[in-house]
Amino acid sequence: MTDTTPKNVTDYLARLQTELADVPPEVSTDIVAGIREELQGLDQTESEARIATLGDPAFIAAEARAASPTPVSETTAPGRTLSIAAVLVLILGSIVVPGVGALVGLVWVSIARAWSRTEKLVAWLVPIAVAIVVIVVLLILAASDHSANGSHLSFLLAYLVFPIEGIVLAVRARGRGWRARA
Amino acid sequence: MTADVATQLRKGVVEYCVLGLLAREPMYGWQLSERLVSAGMIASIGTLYPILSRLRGQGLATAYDEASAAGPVRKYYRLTAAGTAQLDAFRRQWGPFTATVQQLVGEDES
Repeated sequence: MTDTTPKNVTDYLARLQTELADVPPEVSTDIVAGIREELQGLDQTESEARIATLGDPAFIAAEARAASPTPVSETTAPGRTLSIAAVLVLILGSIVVPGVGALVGLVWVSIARAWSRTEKLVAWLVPIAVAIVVIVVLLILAASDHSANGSHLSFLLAYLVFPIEGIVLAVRARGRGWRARA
Repeated sequence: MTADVATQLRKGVVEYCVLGLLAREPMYGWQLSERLVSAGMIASIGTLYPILSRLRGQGLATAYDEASAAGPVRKYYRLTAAGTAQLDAFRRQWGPFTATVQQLVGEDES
């Protein structure tokens, strides 16, 4: 079957497609499809009149761009600095000032915007769960007179749990541009 | 700021105007664009499709293809139940809202 689409229509649609290159694809596809529908079946004279009404593809694209939401990657996540500071305090603070440093880090993580409510809850529950495990192990070891190994476990809690938690939180947040998952 | 007043006002209500048009009958893109451009609500068809995309994303409108007797297969847009509810909510607010604004910014008649 021969394509009888007038040249001015194919040229116009090609220009439109080029101008819409940086418009979100779901919008640009609909615009081109909608205009193609409208120009379909028209002869040269009719299509010229319709194209004149539609206007310059560059103008249509500019309007579409202005009315489309800004892509997420082009904007800085709100509160990004605080979120980064929070994981740094959690990682470094727990080593430099054991106890207080970790506590401050967890509080900052709780008020930062890079993590969901569930992630924040887990951030608090993990050290508590580890502490309970350590206490149970210490009690068992004390009963069997292996207190030296028990103190190593306490060290593990203070120096490893919080930095690991901070690294996991940082990796998760960085993977989604320091924004909490919607 | 003064030059932008009309633009800002249009931005605030244009989505509801689309809902209002679709509440009367399902319409295709060009049809909607012509109505809105002639009413001065949008500058070109380029403004319309991001609005339709948002309305569909929010579940307020939906699209379907329909072949017309004389013309090509077209993508029509129609309101969903959520869209109708949203439009009703807007209609309830709009009257009191414009009356309040008129009271606040209207010229002193005394």
